[in-house]
Amino acid sequence: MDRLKAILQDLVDRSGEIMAVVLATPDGFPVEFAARGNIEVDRQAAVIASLSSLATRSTEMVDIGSPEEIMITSERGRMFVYRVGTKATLGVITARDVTAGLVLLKVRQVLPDIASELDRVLSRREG
Amino acid sequence: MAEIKVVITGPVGSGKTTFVKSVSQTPVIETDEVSTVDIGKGTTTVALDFGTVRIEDVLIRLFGTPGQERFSFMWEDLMVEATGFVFLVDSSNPDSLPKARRMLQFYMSNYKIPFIIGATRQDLKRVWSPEDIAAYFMLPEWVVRGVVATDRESARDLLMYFLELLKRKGGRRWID
Repeated sequence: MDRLKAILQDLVDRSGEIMAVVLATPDGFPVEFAARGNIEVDRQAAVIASLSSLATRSTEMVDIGSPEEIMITSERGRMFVYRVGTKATLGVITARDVTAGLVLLKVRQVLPDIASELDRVLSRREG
Repeated sequence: MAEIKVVITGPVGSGKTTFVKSVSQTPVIETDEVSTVDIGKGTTTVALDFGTVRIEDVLIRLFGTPGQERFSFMWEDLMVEATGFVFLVDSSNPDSLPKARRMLQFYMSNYKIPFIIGATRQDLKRVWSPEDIAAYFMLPEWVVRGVVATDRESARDLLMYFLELLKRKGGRRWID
């Protein structure tokens, strides 16, 4: 299995609360994903890119810097969005009753690995 | 003062963000991100552009859409409560017209509200005329106006034309 896929799959497998993770480019293309069950990954990648960009504009407008995390709480789950450097955005879909801090901790632990693998994947694509 | 919402839409590279930036009298909120694929330009809108312009006694809130189809969920969200829409097409790029036609059909079949078409890049030499574009879309010629999106006056003229039609013809769909 591809290393990037393995990192994302491991994040889902090790955490009962994380239902899906989608890594998307800033312009809304999926790079990689892992999920329990089906996920409309193309559309999800586009939505994640929109959310990330809108969040950045919102925080810039009120002069509070770049967003580190976006959290959306909905009726049956939560969605977290994290920037992975400047080259990608990670969307994490979880159960509703998850502890936000715990998700952040788990994601932060793997973000450096995702970032370095992402560089490798993107440079391979460009090359 | 009356306030209306006008959506600026059209395919990739038709000049939507440029149009909103040219005509807006307030700082524009834009969500351009670097494009990772070749779309003929370096960046692409991933959520919306927003600006405002006051023309006579009307405050127009302009909402620009992304052009790429994978962001079509934004097309639907941005059209909520819209008074009408301006559909931009690149007159210098006939290859973009089939995609423009499919996108226009989406808007025309889902939203029974007033619209006009702006045929952009009319400052270039080899372009389709507004009449050609009208014929291509099989629409009356008065629906299509030429525009130079980089030119504030030209962009403003297009919105003035839309307002004029709105006053003359009313807020229901003008053509079928």
